[in-house]
Amino acid sequence: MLCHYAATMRHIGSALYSRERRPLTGSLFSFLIHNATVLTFAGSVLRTVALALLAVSLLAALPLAALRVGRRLVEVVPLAGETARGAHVRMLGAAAMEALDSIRRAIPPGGDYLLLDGGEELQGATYWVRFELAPRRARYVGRLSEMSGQTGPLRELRQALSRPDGPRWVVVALPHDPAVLIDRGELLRRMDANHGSL
Amino acid sequence: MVPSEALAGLGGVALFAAPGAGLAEILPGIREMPTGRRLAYAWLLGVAWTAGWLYALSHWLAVPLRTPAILGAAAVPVLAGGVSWLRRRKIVRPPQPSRERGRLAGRIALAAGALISLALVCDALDNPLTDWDGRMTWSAQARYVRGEGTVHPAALTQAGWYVSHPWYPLLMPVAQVAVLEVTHAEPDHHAFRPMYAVFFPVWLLLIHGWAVALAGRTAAGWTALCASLLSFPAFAGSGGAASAYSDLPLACFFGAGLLLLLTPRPRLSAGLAAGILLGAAVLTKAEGEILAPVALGLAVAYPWIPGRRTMVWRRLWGRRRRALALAALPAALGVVLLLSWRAVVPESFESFEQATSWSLLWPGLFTRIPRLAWDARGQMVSFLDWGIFWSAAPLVLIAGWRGLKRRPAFPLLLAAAAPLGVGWLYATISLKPDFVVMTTWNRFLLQASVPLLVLFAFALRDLLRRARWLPGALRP
Repeated sequence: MLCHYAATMRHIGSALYSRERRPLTGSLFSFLIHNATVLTFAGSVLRTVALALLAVSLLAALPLAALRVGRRLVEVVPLAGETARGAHVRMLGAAAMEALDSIRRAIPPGGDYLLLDGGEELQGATYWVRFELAPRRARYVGRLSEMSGQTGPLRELRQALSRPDGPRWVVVALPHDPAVLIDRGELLRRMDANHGSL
Repeated sequence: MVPSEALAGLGGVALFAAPGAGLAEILPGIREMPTGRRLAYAWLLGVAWTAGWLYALSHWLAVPLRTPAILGAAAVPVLAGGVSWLRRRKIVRPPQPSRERGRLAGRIALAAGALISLALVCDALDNPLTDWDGRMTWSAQARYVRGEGTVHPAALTQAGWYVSHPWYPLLMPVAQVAVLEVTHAEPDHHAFRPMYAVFFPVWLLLIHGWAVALAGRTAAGWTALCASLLSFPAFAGSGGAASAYSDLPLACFFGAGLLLLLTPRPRLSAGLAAGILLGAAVLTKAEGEILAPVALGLAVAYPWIPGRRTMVWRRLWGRRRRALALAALPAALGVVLLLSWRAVVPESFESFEQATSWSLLWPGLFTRIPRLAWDARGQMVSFLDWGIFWSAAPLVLIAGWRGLKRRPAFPLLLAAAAPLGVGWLYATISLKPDFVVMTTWNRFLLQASVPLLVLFAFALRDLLRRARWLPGALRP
């Protein structure tokens, strides 16, 4: 009885879902999505394209990686025997290192200073100087280019310089030149001589 | 580099490798892993343990971050591991590689990874730090911390000092301090750089090891080769192993912790190791506060993900929950430590608040999509950073979609989406979205890289298996 029921249901199912009963007059799209061969072919093309692109990606990455690895391995020989200090001088330049050393001598490691940005816009000079001088603490007092006439930043700088418990030293971070160390009294005198501006 | 200074740099690596080896020995879930993966976990556990304890001891007990404390924190797992090894008195052979094909891909990947790692270590030994965020934030903070021997330096705990992102967690700066203190390096010495460089081979070993376990040796080998040839994770000065950014360490901690918890029956020791790694993720970078709970949440939800043998998986919940509880403990401790430390940093979120506005979230979440997608695409097609990998990878994932029908694929997909979602949200509420995408998107990709590349291996396995026209040596 059960076998007969199952056979009947299979018959109904095949009648409902057989290809013959699907509208043959449908669009090309409906023909394609019902055609397993076309789908299989499209899938294999897609997989081949994906693998080919991956292979190209690996090949394209090789020269750049080889160049970067080669440069780093080759430079080991000329740099053998160079001290960490020498490496710093090589990267920053002798003048910049000398300026930083003189600032480090003037401001003790636990000391603090006022930091002026000598650039026209954010170029990172204050970050690099702050990093090189750390653990000395910095108080940022603004950008030199914004301090002309009787502007707010200039007034704030004057206030910072005039604070009796404030740092004695002012460091000016310049984007393309060594940092400059100025005594705050000297800076105040310069400002007074220039009628308030720098 | 003179030999003595090179030794100092390599000694800094040993400072974390030794306690990591000890931890890998006493945690059976790690000890019994294949060699490559075990090495990667040992390194990550060593950094997480040593720097994590120093961070906690300095914050809660005011222990000075000087040589005795650093060596003490590192010595505990070294001794424990040594005792455990002697007591076992037998060498447990790690699982032997199967006879499955795929050695060629693995060997090429190993050679490429080893060469690139060697180049990175040479670069780290030879040259001082020259990147942007490393000097602006992470290493500057490390110098303040080292200067005063505490994670509460005045520059961070007093208002008004010129410090970038004082609320960023200090795990990696503390690790830098540990290296510099133990090696008695000058304040401006770059002896800590090899420590960052080592994260690159660790990242590769993680990807390869988990891809072997989940997708087989051939797909794992090709995936590892693709990963090793990506420029950004290795050489980018804005987040790669050549820099002192915290993104690659975060990617490793997050990916390693997550994948340990996505095994069907994680051992208690593996749960504890995952917790330590996720705790380290919390303390490594601000995004870790989101990624670690995401990893734990995915691990909890894992058995309930619909799929084949769902009932079997649900029955596993009973066995998983103790391991997950053990994983949650160190991760929660990491969150408590971070929040407690931040409580003494007065200008906690100032820089974030200045750069963002939550009012942009709606409808920006949708209206900014085209602009952000275009900018993100611009970063991903940068040949110098990624080659053409991001042009090929989506096609591989689509064409190999059958490979993604496996159970771990869905949680891995969500895990990969988490950092990218954080990045998207950040760019959406940012006042300068273009700038944010330009400076951060690649790093969010890096944070998502471990789950993403394991997914890639799944799809690649399917592709290679079906490509019958390929020579046998290239196929699984």
